Amino acid sequence: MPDEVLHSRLGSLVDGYGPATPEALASHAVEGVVPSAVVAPGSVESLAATVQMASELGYAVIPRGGGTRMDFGLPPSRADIVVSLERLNRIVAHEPADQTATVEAGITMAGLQAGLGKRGQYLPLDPPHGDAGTLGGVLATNASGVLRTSFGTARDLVIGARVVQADGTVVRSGGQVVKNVAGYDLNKMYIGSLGTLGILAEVNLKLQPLPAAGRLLIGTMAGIGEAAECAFRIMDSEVMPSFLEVASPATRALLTGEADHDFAVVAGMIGTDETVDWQAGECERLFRDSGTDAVIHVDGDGYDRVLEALRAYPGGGLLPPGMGPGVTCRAGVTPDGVEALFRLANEGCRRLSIGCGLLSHFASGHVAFVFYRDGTFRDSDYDGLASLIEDLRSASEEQGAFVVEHAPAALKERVGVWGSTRGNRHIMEMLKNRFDPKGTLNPGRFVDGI
Amino acid sequence: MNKDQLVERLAAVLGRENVIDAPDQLIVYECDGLTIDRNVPHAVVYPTTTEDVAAVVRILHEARIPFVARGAGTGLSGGSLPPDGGVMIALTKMNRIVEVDFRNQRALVEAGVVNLHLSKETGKQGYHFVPDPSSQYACTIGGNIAENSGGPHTLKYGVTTNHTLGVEVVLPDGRITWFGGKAEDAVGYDLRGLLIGSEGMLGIVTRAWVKLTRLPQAWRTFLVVFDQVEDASRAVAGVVARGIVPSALEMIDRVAIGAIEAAYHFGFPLDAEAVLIIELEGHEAGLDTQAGAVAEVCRENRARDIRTAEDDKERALLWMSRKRAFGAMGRLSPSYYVQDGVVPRTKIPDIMRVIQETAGKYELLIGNVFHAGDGNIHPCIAYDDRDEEQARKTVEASNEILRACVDLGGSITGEHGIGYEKVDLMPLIFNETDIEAMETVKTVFDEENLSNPGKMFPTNRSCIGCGTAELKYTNRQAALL
Ligand SMILES: Cc1cc2nc3c(=O)[nH]c(=O)nc-3n(C[C@H](O)[C@H](O)[C@H](O)COP(=O)(O)OP(=O)(O)OC[C@H]3O[C@@H](n4cnc5c(N)ncnc54)[C@H](O)[C@@H]3O)c2cc1C
Repeated sequence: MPDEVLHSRLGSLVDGYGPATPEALASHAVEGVVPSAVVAPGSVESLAATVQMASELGYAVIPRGGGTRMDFGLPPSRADIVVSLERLNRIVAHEPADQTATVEAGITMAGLQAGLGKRGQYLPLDPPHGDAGTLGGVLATNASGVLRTSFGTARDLVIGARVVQADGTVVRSGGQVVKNVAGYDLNKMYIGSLGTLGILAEVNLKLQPLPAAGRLLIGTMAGIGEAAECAFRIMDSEVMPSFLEVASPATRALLTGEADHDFAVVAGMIGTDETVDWQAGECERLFRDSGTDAVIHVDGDGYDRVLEALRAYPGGGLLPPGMGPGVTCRAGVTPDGVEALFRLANEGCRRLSIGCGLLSHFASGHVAFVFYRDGTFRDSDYDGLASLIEDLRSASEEQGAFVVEHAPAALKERVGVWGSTRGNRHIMEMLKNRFDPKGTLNPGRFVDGI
Repeated sequence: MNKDQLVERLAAVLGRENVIDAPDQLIVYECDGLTIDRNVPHAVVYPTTTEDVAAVVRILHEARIPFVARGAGTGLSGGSLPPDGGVMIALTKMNRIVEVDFRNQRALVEAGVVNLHLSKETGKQGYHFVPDPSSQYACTIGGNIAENSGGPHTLKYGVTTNHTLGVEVVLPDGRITWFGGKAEDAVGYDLRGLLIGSEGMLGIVTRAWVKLTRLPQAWRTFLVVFDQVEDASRAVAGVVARGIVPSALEMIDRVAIGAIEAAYHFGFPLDAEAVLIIELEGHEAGLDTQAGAVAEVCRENRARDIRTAEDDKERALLWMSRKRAFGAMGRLSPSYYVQDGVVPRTKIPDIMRVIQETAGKYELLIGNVFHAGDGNIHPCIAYDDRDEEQARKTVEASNEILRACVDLGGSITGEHGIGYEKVDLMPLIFNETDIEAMETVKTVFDEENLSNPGKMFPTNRSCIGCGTAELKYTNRQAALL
């Protein structure tokens, strides 16, 4: 199909559309695959019409939010039209008294939180790339942050959605209310599907009131064994922290400015002043019971700064000056599997003489890894990195999962991205085939090359 | 395969004692908690292992015989109503708590474990399984997963899906697989999330890893008395609007208070129009400040009295009275019909007004005991099932209330499910495309439509979008006559 046809069709469906320059197209390449058009529909209807046209004419559509995670997943097998959701960025409705909101998926996380904050509420979801990343992108990748310890992931916070399906029809799942079991819970299926089953256009969210106070305690730990024990002690206590992180030395250095070989446990509490005070005192005692006297209390501006660093690192790729870009991965194991992954990663990186930053949202068993060196990795690094990643993957998959998030294409080609779907490949392929029989949406990027 | 041959094959796998086919024994399984709709299964089987379930399902799949899973049969939407000529797979003998891992705060249970048993088992160590349906002394965790059940305390902590890490499933063709597992963040589509709440239509849950949660350090439980339903309703919205998240916020109206008091003698004020049970949980520090704020909201809304549960015993009695309220309602009339709808929580005053008006219009006695904090209403209609006219009015009144829920921005079920009962109400909230998407999921898991057929999807396709959706009264009528 000649590009002129595509451009004229897009021009009739999306106001303000014009063919992009070759440079602009190149800058929207997804893992090296350059699209023929970049388009930003201004309404759900226009988005749907665009997808319908693409489906009819056989174009592949690559949905795009803030563009912060476009290298996530496998390279697409085809990429004709990059559909940006940047113009779908409104808070459609916010009902503070119901603690719910309806928002368009192209809104940035920063824009969303600022908008909700005006009326004293927020979405308790704090993934990396907090500013530029869009809600839609966060949902498509099911990204999460430290708050998952107390509020869960996106799958626990989305109560309804409007989704543009692969043929351009618009489907609604869930509803506007916080409790609802009518029909299958399709929200869950779309979240984390990397846009391969449909494009999330509008979502209904469950919100929380902004807390009156927040404080975090950083305890210094001599080793990962001590850190994990301390974290277990806090988990089993009456503290009920809002977040509970275990950090490797490099991560700790970014949080506290102290660069040495110590690990850290970070416990955060939010709520009223009284509960925060009590929890902080109790937590301090638990830290001492775990053998450390080095405990810092952080609140006010410092609290926001440390939280910002926790969010940006290592999943967000924030690195020490002069380092990187890094390779980032994530694992999902049980809390008692975290220590082994830390050891494996640290030893591997020491052997390879590369940098290693680790952070675990401990109670959920989530571990984020960043591997880096001065400047970019070279071809000669790939053998070592690949075997490290394979070791980590097989250790993680004994219980859970391991995903390569950001890595040079050559490395991804060697180690893959997603890992095992544990005997469920068939069902996942069938879902893709039935919801997107022509392979219109993000073809090839998801698990098993779906 | 005729019936005898089928029974023989099933008995060969499970042992004769685990297969029931005598008509007088089967009659027990003809319905669940929704007693209006009945259908006797062909046979009932009691597998004791996952492999047993798989073997049974393989036989049924091969012979294209439909089947339905059943836990305790406390469902209120006819979810485990047997399909015609179908086999019921009862999970109640799979009732082992396989592993409790306190360190990682999770447990592996078989599907037939009774909900309350897990919390009792883990309570000694200071943990519990959060979802606490009022039927928790009987209902199974498999049933909770199938319905995505809630309970009074899911207001603060979330419903079953938020507490289920992974499910072992026997797919409708007899294959065994896990969706999710002991760890979070499985890769690929969230089949775990899709299965939870799928009402037994995508496969049979045999085991599950669920989260255990630390019991709170402290709690305060209040019984707040109001002279007007309207005031109690406004107090509910007021508490939520203040940014206070109680662990439970339940409302009981005068009709239900009378029934509960007669049954359990807790000491509810019989002259009150409504009471709220408000429970706050958390750290001792700060709890009284929160309690003060709650009391203030209640007084602003003209609460007549605010009573505090003095000790564990009084609190337990209060919750027992609340959780057995439907049973107490049964004393008021030969039958009762519990509805389940949802409105945005700010719309509680509006829906309570609708319920009162509807009761008046149809001259029916309606009691209300419900999860007010999350807008989940349970009008309970007392009627005489031998009186056809009253039965018809009961269904019509239900329709009217559920329509009002939808008009107010809500849903037709918050926790009891669509089941068989509400298939023809689905068009009130979903259009053809929405329903097709769900059917697509169904075909991926169950191409032959064997696992709990006849549930969830509307029977009258031409009716979708035409605005005449209503409860399946014709079937009810047939069942009643
Ligand atoms: C007095 C009373 C109070 C109640 N209070 C509440 C409440 O507060 N909150 C609430 O949410 N519900 C409540 N319910 C409804 C009911 O108890 C719940 O839906 C419960 O989860 C059903 O569990 P069960 O084991 O009885 O399931 P059943 O009734 O046996 O089955 C329910 C559905 O689940 C399917 N199913 C059962 N087991 C499995 C399995 N292992 N695998 C796949 N599918 C399966 C069945 O096919 C059926 O569709 C109440 C019911 C009563 C009678």
